[in-house]
Amino acid sequence: MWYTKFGPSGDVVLSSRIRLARNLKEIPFGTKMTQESEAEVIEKCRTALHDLKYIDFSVMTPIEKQALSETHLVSPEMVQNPHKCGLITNDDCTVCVMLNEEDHIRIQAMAPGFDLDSCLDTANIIDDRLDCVLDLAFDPKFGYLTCCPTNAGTGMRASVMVHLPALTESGNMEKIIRSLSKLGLTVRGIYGEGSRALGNIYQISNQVTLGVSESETIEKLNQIISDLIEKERKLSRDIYEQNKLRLEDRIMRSFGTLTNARLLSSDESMNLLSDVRWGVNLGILQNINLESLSNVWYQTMPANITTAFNTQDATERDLKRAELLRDTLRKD
Amino acid sequence: MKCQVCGKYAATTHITKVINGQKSEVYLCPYCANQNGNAPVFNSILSGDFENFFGGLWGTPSEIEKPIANVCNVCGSSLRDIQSRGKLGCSNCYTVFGNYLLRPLKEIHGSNSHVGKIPQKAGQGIRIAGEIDKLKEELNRAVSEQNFEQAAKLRDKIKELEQNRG
Repeated sequence: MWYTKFGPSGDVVLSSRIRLARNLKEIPFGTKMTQESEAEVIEKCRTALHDLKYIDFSVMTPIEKQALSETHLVSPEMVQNPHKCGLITNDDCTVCVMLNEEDHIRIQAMAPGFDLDSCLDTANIIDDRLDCVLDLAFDPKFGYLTCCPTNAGTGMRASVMVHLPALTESGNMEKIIRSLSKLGLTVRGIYGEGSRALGNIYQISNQVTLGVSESETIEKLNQIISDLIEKERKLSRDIYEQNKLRLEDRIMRSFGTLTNARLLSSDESMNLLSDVRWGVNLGILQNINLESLSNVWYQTMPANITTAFNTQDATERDLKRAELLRDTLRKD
Repeated sequence: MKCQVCGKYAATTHITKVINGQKSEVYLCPYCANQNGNAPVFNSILSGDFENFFGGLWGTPSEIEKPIANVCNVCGSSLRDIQSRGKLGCSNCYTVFGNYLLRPLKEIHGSNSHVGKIPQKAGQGIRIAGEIDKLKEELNRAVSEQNFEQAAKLRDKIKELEQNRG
């Protein structure tokens, strides 16, 4: 799958994504939709993108939906969506159009590593194909009309998923989140509650969709993220040089736990995997492939384990998770 | 015990509801419990969306912010519906409540005018209107420069575009 691949600046940036929110002009939004209008949205989009694969999301079991959300193919909101909804994807799932999420159409284009430009190109191709045959809700003043007015305008959310162990370790993340927020960007932990970012993974995205063009938004994000990547790399080296033995000890301990433990919770394994990833980037751990680390990361998410191995409860999951991690890391 | 909804996984959540003295019990696995909005499952993904703050930006509409109707004539949403949900009911709501949206949108985005992509189909009229405006400016310039040959060409072009626009 694309999300386990190593892309540009893949040592820091795990993946990039563009999401375009679109609605059909003649059909009411969200809560005002009837079952007929929900079906109409799906039918129209399926016809427009007939060469892509359609998945009826509504008939999937809760656990299957959760598994797709863990790999970020669908939003957590989509999992909770009680309405008739569907997905249109290409073979490698780098395109995943969510139908009847908050908006009628949410085009998502994803790529491994730091590559927002190619994501925007792909999303625009899908958007233009829909635009050719459907009447999209658009207004000269408000731009693309969306259910929530905070998305109106370009309807675009550009985001990158970044692994920032050094910046987190140095205690600088709060400051960075504050300053990025002043620049119109949102930072959030992907996994975990409150401000805790499990596995030191953050998602950074634009807030503003009105008054700036798509290309301006991406250009700004590209500049800021490039700067952030450099900061993380430099700080990472500095921390290592200043505390060589301590950092090596911590990373080797994490590696030791992952390769020996019999039971591993997802919280614990995410934090240990973050250490191992950091260790690989610094050259402390060798012969470990970052792609297999990403692969096992997603493979050991709770719902993904359950769907793949039919585990019955948390203990069975923790047992299977530890086994998968041992196998992956020992093989490498 | 297996989940009473899917029958597949072990039930870990026990929910007792008492409604009007009627007690009902259900045993659910984490996935079905989550689906029913009853219990958190795994590590819920942080919702840092600032959309939730939108509600705080609404206020009583001033004279110039007054909607053009009390309810949307297409979906039936009222101003109160929109304030409480923070969401619009259909694309026509943007026309009905447009004046009222300008201020909060400006506070959120720093602007309330779109400058990005324009769709081919829906945007055709908009593009033609922009082109006509540009040609009219050129026409005025040509007239003031007494370049009447150029002015005649521009006038014909404007006429043609206006016919296309319908």
